[in-house]
Amino acid sequence: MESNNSIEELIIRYLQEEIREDELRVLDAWIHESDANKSRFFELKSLFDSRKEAAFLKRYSVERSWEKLAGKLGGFTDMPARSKLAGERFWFSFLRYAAIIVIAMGVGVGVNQWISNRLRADDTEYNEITVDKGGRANTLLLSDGSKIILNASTRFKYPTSFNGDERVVHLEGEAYFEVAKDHSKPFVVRLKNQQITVLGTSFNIQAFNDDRFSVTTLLSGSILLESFDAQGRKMSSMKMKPNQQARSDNWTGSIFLSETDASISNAWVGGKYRFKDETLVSIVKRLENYYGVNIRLAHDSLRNIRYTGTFSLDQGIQEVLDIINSEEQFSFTKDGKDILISARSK
Amino acid sequence: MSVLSMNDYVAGKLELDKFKLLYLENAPRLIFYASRYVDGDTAEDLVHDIFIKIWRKKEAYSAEEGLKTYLFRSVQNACLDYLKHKSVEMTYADEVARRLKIEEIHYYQQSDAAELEKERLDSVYREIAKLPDRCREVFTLAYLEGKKSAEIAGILNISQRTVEAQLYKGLKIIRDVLAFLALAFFFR
Repeated sequence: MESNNSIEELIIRYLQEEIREDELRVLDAWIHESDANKSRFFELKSLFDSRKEAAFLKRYSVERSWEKLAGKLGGFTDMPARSKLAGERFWFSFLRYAAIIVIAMGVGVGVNQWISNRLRADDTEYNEITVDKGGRANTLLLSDGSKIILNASTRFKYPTSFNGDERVVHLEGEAYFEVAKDHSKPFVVRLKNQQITVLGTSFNIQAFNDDRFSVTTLLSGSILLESFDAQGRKMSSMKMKPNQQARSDNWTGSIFLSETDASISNAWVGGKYRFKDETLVSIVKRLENYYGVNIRLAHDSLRNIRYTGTFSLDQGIQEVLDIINSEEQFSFTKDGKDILISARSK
Repeated sequence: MSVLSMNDYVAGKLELDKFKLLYLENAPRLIFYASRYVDGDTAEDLVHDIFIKIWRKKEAYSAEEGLKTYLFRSVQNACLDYLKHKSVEMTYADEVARRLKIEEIHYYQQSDAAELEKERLDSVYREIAKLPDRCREVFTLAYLEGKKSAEIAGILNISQRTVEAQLYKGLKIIRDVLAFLALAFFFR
């Protein structure tokens, strides 16, 4: 039996309803020692109690509750039939609010644009969020506890609540997923030409519309990747294991699987961009997305030079270019709003 | 959203439609609040009693108070009444809980009636996202998934005491931020 319990532990045990009688006596005495203690206890309890609010509101039918009350009122004859009153619209929006909560983190230099279009597709209402080029990473917390972090230049579509057998979302761009486990309801990410089915896991997806390939990297758990060709015919399917990376061809639907250090793929989540043996043309494209600039390479021969390195997204574009140019093989010029990279003649 | 003012009530012009709107707009939050102190069915009954009294215009009210505040105070008092008149509980734990609930309601009666609005879920969720990694993992499992500490310990492969420490830490951080924000808003 542990005798050196701190008050913090006892408070938590009370809140979690896991407290023993002897512990409760100690807590009870402490609460009444001072107003400050009392105050601290009740305020923490109040905050913790609010966790049940979302679940309560979701399953609580205010309409049915109203019917009950109406019955008790008695003495009136013309009770309105179930009509579309403003109140019902309010209740539905309340439910929607409780079902999906969206969090924006780190609104920084870039422009983040929220589109809350209610798009209807087969009885489900969808919300959509867009992060512009040069925008900062945005975190979404879905009602099932899944966490999605969206990178710049990304569009994400998700339902207002997860009804039905599956949890389906749509992605265009780059996002890092931590999917909450729910074996009864697989989590499905739809890309333009691929589909990823997950049970509970963390993975990174890079699927920009004008790239030839989508890249999915699995960090933990297991996912099923299915790919389709440009006509929508299913071409391959692959069950992935941690530290595997799949490059899916958006035109042909072929999947190339390789082993990798998965942590490189989601380094951007921590504000770092890591690249390993990546071609300049690919790096430049990523810089365009993250910084919202246009970069051109003066000569095709520059495209396939490979680099390995890390930089922090806090660094400005100029700093990053300087890092790439550490051996001074390039010169940068501004061409209107674009940046032009050309080889420096020695 | 409905625009219901004390004037409608005062002038006795309350019609069923407006009354229903009033109910739809306020009942869920009020019933949830009551359910923290009494069981679900009783919570609904208590709130219903209040609305019935409003409908029958038997309830006295103070014209200065806003309608929402009036409703909230009524629910608080109804819960207090119920708890105080309940017979003594069977177990020591339940009895302490009952006593603490009474004290909790008294505590909030002395502070501002803004209690109902203070912890908006979206603010809480925003702060959860900002917690340090380990803390956030634990807090999410307890707060969003309602898991008990023993289970969380198993999932994350850490001791139950660590879970409890992290949970406390998360609660404290979020509580402090929200209190600060509420204060800052008040002084705007």
